[in-house]
Amino acid sequence: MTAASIKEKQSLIGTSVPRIGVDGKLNGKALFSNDVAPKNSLWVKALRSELAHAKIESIDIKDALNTPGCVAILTAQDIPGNNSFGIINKDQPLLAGSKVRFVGDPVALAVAISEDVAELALSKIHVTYTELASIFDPEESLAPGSPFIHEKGNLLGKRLIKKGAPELAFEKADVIIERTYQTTCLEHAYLEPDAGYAYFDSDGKIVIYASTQNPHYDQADVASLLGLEADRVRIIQTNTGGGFGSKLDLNTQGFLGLACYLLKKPVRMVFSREEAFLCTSKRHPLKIKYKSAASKDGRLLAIDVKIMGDTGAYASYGLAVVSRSAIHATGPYEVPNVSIESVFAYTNNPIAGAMRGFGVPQVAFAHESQMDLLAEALGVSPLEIRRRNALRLGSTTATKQELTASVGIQTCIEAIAPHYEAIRNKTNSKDSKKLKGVGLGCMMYGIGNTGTQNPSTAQVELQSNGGIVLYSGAADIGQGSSTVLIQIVATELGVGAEKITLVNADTGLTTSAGATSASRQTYISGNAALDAARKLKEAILTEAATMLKANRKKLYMKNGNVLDSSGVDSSVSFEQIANKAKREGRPLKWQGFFDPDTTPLDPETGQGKPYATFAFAAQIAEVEVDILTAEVTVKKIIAAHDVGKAINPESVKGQIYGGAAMGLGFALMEEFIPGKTVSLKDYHIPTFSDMPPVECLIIEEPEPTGPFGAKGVGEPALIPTAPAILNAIADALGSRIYSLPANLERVMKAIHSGASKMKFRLNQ
Amino acid sequence: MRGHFNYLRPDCVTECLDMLDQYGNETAILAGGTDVMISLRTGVKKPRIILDISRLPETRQVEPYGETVRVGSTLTYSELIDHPVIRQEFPALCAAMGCVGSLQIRNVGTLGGNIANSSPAADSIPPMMLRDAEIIIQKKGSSRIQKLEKLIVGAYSNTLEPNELITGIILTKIKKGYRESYQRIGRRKSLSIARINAAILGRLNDSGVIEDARISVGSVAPSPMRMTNVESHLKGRKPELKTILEASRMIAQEIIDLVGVRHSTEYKQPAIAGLALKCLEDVFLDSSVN
Ligand SMILES: Cc1cc2nc3c(=O)[nH]c(=O)nc-3n(C[C@H](O)[C@H](O)[C@H](O)COP(=O)(O)OP(=O)(O)OC[C@H]3O[C@@H](n4cnc5c(N)ncnc54)[C@H](O)[C@@H]3O)c2cc1C
Repeated sequence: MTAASIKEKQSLIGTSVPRIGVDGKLNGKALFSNDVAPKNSLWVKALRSELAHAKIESIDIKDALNTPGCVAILTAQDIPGNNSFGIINKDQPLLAGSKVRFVGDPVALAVAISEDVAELALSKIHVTYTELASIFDPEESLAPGSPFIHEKGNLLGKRLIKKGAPELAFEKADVIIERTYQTTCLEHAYLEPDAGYAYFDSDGKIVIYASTQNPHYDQADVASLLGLEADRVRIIQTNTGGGFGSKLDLNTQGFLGLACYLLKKPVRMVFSREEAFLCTSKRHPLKIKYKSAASKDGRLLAIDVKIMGDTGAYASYGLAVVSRSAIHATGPYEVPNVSIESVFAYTNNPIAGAMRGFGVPQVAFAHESQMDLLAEALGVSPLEIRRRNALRLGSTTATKQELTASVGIQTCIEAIAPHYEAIRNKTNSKDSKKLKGVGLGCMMYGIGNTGTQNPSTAQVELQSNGGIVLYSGAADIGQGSSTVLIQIVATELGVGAEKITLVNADTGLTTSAGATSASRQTYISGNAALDAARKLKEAILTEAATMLKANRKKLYMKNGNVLDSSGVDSSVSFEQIANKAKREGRPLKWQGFFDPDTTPLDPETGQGKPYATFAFAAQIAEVEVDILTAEVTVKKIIAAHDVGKAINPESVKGQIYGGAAMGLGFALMEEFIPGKTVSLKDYHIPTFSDMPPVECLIIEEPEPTGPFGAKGVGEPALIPTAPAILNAIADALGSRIYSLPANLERVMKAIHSGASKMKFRLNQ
Repeated sequence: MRGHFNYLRPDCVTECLDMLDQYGNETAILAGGTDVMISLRTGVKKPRIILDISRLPETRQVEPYGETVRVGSTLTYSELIDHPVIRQEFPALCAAMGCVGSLQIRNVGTLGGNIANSSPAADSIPPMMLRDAEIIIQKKGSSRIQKLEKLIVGAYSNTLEPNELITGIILTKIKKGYRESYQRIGRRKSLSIARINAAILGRLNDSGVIEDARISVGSVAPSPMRMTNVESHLKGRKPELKTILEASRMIAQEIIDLVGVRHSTEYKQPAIAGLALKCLEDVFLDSSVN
């Protein structure tokens, strides 16, 4: 047997190793921040503004402080460091100083011996405000003369992308389709509302345990709020019950750090569901004006897209959404002439930030509707128009990035094509009151942060007992990155997954892996872990070659031993190697690093290489619309996703199932109405009974720069679903919905404006 | 803030009525708690006493009695749906109960609770209205029986006094040749309050003419309403598609006339008609007659 074939056999890549910690999640024994906070912790609660925009004249805390059991009331004045934070723009105060900018802006903290006392104390804080004119619409916000929400003005950011000569192309086009699309504010609705606790350790460090996606960023911002060096703050991620982007922000960490630092006592905080709804970030509502031009033969000639986004009161990840929505506005299609403008404004609405897909689910709704409209106008099938325009090797994107590898969109389309044709050809049921439709949704998604460095690091260490420890800063929030990282390292070192101990998402023990966002951990942190494992492997093989007096090239690793493949029956264990190296003072902990190859985008033309690689997908949704009641039932979703390489196929499927559910919610029911939506009682997310069977077709177009060829799937999973469902509804009714969600009211309207396919009308 | 309260759990109706007599004004009755717990959390209710009635044996039985069945008030939806007599005699009520919340809610939520909560969207009320539902109400030393329509006087409002307890519901069994249907619209497939719900009961005579039709529509007015005009309009007619379509539209029109045109009318008018049509087709057009 050659070393290569042995390695192949032992590979954990492509096997569904059970998810780390899955048993605890299933049997309810997994502990979350709020379960493990020390019993003697003081409770922290925030007083939040009930006004959308107001100047704070005074805060009277005397009565509150007199509440028995209340230990402290903290306001902006108590913040020792820089009272502004934010991942990209530092524009958000931890506690509002001069004014409040949205309903939910925190104004003061009560720290008390119980949650009840903290709440009672909050009710006795008297804040005097002078109300300011508030703005809830982004266009209005940017209109001349609008009151400023931030001193720098109301523009968050703008992204322009220019390619070719779109004006000319529009003149020559055979078909032009122009429509406006509107999406709404969405709540992440993760299972576990934000929580955490903090205490001083014996070295005088503030240790904050939190439900977070972003421990190293948390550390930097908490330290800055407190005016401390970063190493005085340690963030440890606890089990995290979902995040979907909102736990990238400092939701509790800053408050915990402040209270712990000032009071020198352990403190804890947990949001109620209502509080999480009120004050954590939301998905950006976008208004997308989309104009597409095509030639008679069904080729896209040009697009002109104008995106207007509402980022709410503070930036959070808003700027990332400005750029990403613009770059992805073409969808996974080659468009020779492009003009895209994306403009986001501050308003007095809730903060909009990162949410699974960073603006791409919104633009995908627009570009996929446009593709169907073009197909209809040109008399070609929705499948065919996508085939003709889908990106391929050598294509250039809107930012003139040439795609040189791993372009799986054509393969995804071909994978779903037979299913699509089969559903199309199914005879429509006799029940003319239930109309069936089928729709397609395609997408591309750039893996990692946009046009900026976003490196990850990891260390892999061989211990004296022969065990291996992997250190990674990556926070696993339920998506499965920990398991994937272990599979990568175990495979590289030829050991079983159980031989790897993972230490992760602890700023005291690990170096930064960047945020768990942008579908980047498998690709970027996977590469960093692989890099570290390779270096350790080299070191181990070098040691073994000396010990076995063998040709290093003939050595291979298996089950924690190094063996000789040249027929000589000799081996040495990892343990022996570790002991020797240790005695002789050679390092057994190696550092890995990976930063995807990107370039910043040109500010005028948007040209550049924003991402090193893209994921692609094509989905089909089959729906049934009850034309008497306007209820939509999604009967089936078929999802083909090019993930490069599915390191853990069941985890990939898990992401697709969950993504499809989120996409279905986005399509049909989810809508967060600021000032109205309070909790899960009025914010509907899909239940088990709303979900159809989801069939996953995993496509693997290997990415040469990915770990074992892998890219990412976390966000891509969600993106095609809503467009596919909306296209299916349009197919069923012969009329189209341009605003999400496609709720009962909008579907009823479409039923009554649709004509061609309607065989049965109540008012006939 | 979480309220503080005392928790009492009587073992029999007599004990319960004593407690209500003594503390009624400061008490919240808790059966399955699926409505009460929410009002405690939001602070809408701040009772000093929670009176748990979930284990009163006298209220946990299904007793057929001649033409009627007496249903205990604290039986849960799951218990009732699984009960052979209820399944046999009350198909529309079973369908309605099957729509309530989710399995978890149905495992604890009770019929008595649904009535006492008196929501305009309560699932169980329209089908019970069509079966002459009478509510047995007891207080210390006396009891009264009130028709369901009379008990509910508005949205979340009824004639129950703080010292009264619903112990049972009397429903008429299904009569020969009758068919019934329950339909509802929700914003999602489970765990959603009915946007519109309707129950229809009827019978054709031997010559295929509608002899009896009873229609009750919920979630459209402060309380579920009987559509008596349309009921009489249908009587004596043959259930042709045209007639049924017309009746469906009449139901919608009558409701819109009553509540007035609003923002929601654009949806509700066709949807009420659509839902009514589904029920009417189910009852009168389906060929498989009982
Ligand atoms: C998630 C969720 C989903 C829901 N979905 C639906 C739905 O789809 N359809 C629907 O109709 N309802 C729904 N409900 C509401 C609720 O489940 C029903 O109204 C249920 O029938 C209430 O019964 P209960 O035993 O839980 O009542 P409780 O909450 O215990 O009591 C409800 C009210 O009635 C009073 N009460 C209860 N029993 C008696 C009695 N025997 N005598 C006098 N007063 C009494 C209580 O004091 C209280 O005011 C839902 C609730 C939740 C939380």
